[in-house]
Amino acid sequence: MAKEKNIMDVVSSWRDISIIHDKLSDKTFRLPSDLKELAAEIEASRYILDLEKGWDGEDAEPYNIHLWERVIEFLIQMYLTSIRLFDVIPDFPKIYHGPEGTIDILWEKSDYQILANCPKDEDKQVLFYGENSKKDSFKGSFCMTDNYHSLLMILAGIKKCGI
Amino acid sequence: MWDIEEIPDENKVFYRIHKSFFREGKLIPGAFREIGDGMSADWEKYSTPEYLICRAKIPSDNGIVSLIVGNIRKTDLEVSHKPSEKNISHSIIKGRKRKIQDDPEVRLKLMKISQWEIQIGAYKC
Repeated sequence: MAKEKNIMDVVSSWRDISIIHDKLSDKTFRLPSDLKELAAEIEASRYILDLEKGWDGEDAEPYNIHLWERVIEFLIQMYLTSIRLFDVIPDFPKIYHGPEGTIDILWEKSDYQILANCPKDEDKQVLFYGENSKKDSFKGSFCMTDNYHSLLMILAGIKKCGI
Repeated sequence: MWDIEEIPDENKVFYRIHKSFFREGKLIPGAFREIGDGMSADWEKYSTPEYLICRAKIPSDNGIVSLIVGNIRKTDLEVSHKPSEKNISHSIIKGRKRKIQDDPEVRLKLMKISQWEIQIGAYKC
């Protein structure tokens, strides 16, 4: 593992990108400009907060704003950690509404796919599964708040060394 | 009532996709989830994509994908014929160990093996 670096030394520009949602009264997420594509994906995922009861044509419930916030915080932290520890920015995912009030994070690339499902309940774990074009597969679980390194190692490894 | 039959591996089932599971031109993995006793599908022996889409509340809000039964079973799911009074083709897809929605491996694989039969909003009943 590379020697841990100061995040201020490895991010080329700290021009912050703020992500503010009108439903978030006092929440602003800040990202360095190196992560502007992640910011764009986060912005795109705000549609999840606009899904109203019955959004699936049946009786689906709206999504919990606090879950969306936790997912965004987790993603930002994971990418900042990747820059700090490995000097690598992993591929950026799509963020979608998942089943039964959960949120899915999907890395869908030509040579690999990873799906991570973030649960509604804080005490449950994120489950992830991935496979690559060589038919290798990997799966795991982690706590969103502080133990995402199993997924991070895979994403950083793919970016640094290929699949 | 209808007899329950064994669905051969080489047959297809049709699954309805609501427009909310179609983002940026793509099917998303949240589309695959059990409701009640499983994921409801129509067996091709007794149904067509057109017949399935026209039973939706708002057909134009939906599309239809097909999945080959043998490929579904390879993902550790059960596929069984469960005809109802109104629909002889009714079939159920469900997880052997846990629900489809609780298994990202299964949902990712279902997404990959799904083939569009009718794109969202493309068919008028």
